[in-house]
Amino acid sequence: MPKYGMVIDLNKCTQCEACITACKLENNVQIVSKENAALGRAMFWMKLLDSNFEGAYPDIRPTKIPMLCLQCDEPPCTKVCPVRATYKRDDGIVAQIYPQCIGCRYCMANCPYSAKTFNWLKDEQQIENEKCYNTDVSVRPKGVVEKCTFCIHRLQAAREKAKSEHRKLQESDYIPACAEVCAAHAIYFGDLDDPHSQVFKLINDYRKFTLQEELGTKPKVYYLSAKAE
Amino acid sequence: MDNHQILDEDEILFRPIYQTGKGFYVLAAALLTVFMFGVVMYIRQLIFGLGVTGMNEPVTWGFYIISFVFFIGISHAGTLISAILRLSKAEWRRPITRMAEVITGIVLLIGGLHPIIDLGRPDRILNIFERGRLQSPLLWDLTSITAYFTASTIYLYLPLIPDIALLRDRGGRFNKLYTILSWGYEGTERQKHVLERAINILMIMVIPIAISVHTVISWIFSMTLQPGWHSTIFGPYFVVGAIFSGIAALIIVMIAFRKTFHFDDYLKKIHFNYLGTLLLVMSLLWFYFTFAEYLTTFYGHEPPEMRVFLYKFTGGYSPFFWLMVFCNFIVPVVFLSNKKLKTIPGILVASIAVVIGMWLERLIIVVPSLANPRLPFPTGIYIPSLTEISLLAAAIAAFILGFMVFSKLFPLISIWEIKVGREESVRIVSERLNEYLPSKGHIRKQIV
Amino acid sequence: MPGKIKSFFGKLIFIQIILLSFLWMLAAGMTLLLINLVHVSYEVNDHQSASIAISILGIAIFWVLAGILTYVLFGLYKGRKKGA
Repeated sequence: MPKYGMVIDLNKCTQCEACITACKLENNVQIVSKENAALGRAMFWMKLLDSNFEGAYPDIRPTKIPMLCLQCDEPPCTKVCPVRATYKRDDGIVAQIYPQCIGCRYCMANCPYSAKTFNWLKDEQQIENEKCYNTDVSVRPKGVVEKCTFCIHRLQAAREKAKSEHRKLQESDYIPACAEVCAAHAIYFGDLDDPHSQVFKLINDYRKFTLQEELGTKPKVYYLSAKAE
Repeated sequence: MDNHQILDEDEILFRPIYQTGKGFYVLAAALLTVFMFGVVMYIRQLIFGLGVTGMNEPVTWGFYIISFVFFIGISHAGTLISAILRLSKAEWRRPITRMAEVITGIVLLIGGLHPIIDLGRPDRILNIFERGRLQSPLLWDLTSITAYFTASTIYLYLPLIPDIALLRDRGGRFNKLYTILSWGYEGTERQKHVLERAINILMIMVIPIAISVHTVISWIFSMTLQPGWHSTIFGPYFVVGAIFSGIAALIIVMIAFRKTFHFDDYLKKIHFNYLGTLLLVMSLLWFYFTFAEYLTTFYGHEPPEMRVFLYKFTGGYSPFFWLMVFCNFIVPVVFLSNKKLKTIPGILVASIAVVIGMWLERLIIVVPSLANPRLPFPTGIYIPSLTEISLLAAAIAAFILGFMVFSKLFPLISIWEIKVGREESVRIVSERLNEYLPSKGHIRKQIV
Repeated sequence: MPGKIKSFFGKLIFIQIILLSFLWMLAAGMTLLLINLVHVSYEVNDHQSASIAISILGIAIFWVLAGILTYVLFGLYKGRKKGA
């Protein structure tokens, strides 16, 4: 069984936010109105987290980390869901069952990475946006929680394609939108258990760290960062 | 035969059922309006989604969860007075038990509805029954609140049976209802024995169920990894806070009904004195738990915990925090430890302060931890909207309305317990005293 | 006259038993619900031990409560005055 994970090389990341845009478009994530965004209801599956500030005033450069759902191996969110609307699959992806979610937001309260987002209002997009919807992904109704699923619809499509072609699933068949779009090739994605995959080699890199490791959530998104001398 | 002509010595306790003043209708109409407004706002929330509230990311829980914890907390009024005082054979509980048990019944209904109001998809509530996970604290909640509601309704009903029999024997309206509900009670020795036995079993059963209810509610918070929530003290802390707010609510209800229905002869100064002392003890206990919780947080000085701590002590939520300490500790201690201030108006002031303070305490527990996430995202801001405020007002209106309906059907003070108290208590208590005290003969024998 | 009283009395007991049966239905309903949740936890292989422990406690409480109320109903009727 593959164990899907991601490695983001912060020394290559230019903070261009192409990954964030791609994620939003790929997964039909709601574009909320200005008023609601100001109230704190903007919906992003992938965000940039301010982690460090380098340099002195007035030349301060923030280092931002692209933050998505870290697909923990011991997810705190699945522990507390009362209806199993979020659960960990055997291939390591923490998935969401949108029709099952009752919108209690307990999983959001327990996620230490604030990775989940909630549909506070009915999805009302302009017709130009609706025309661009990705038909492989459902549009979530109001009142349910959603989060990054490593573009699991792409995994399902790739599996079916491989099955119809009577071959095994290869590494290049399945890649999430953010990893595909990154112009700096900073996002690596693959099977953490496969010794030939790039991510397997990268997680043994000396620059590797994970966020809030001490909480024991065992996230499967690793970051690489080396400070300049 | 018109039974109304034969005046019972406790006639005043029957009067609210048979006489309805104009004030009743005016108040009922006003409360119904507030309640209906709340219902309309909720329907609006169902149509437009939870965006009509003030909740956002990261503050994903707000007024609804706060009110949920608050109302379920008040339900401990019933257990403390009824069960624990009955268990400790305190005779002064007799006029109070009925009101306490009614409070429990009504607030459990109101409080139990609040998580459903808070859901994003209440139409999918059956998912809990079909595919629920008993590993989630929310399901523990469901089980224990249902158990407590059933147990406390039965515990309200059993001591009500002799009073219903009295009402049935008087004739008048609702006679059919009283005949059905009184289950053929006639006051025979065997029947009294059956009832007493059942009440005794229940009074012992209801205490662990009640403690489990508020412990389990606290575990909704303390089972998470949030700084400020993940603390072992939450279980006992919430139970103490619940009993604290329950006594305060009970005192307010007692004073309100004493004034309206002229129960001065039954709810005497001494009852309020004893309850006031209990309120003072709970205030000191609450302060002890709060102090212990915040001292350990501060001494450990972990960064995510300190962010929440400073947000409460000196940051955005400091006005609410210090107002809460003032209402929960300073006002009760000042008014209840001072003989001059411990009058009935003084006890009322302390109780109102405690009710407000305990609601604020729930606010202080829920919002600051959510507003300060572990990762350095911007601090959340929570401003409650009209929907949430109107639903809180509707909940309070429903509470008062529930009491008003009850007062029209059943006596608010347990009449048979008062009668038993008058006839038998002196004998029972003096027998009990003779068991404690040494007998008279020994000294004479020893000298000789 | 006695016949009329008997039928009223019969109707009365009937209504009271219906009211009591609500509590039995609640106990049975909670039993079914908790057993269903244990079954689901086995299906998805998700902490079966916790489900079983909580279910046993929950089921026991409701049946005890139903039992107490039934005891009261029958006890009160048995203890009535003779010739009532």
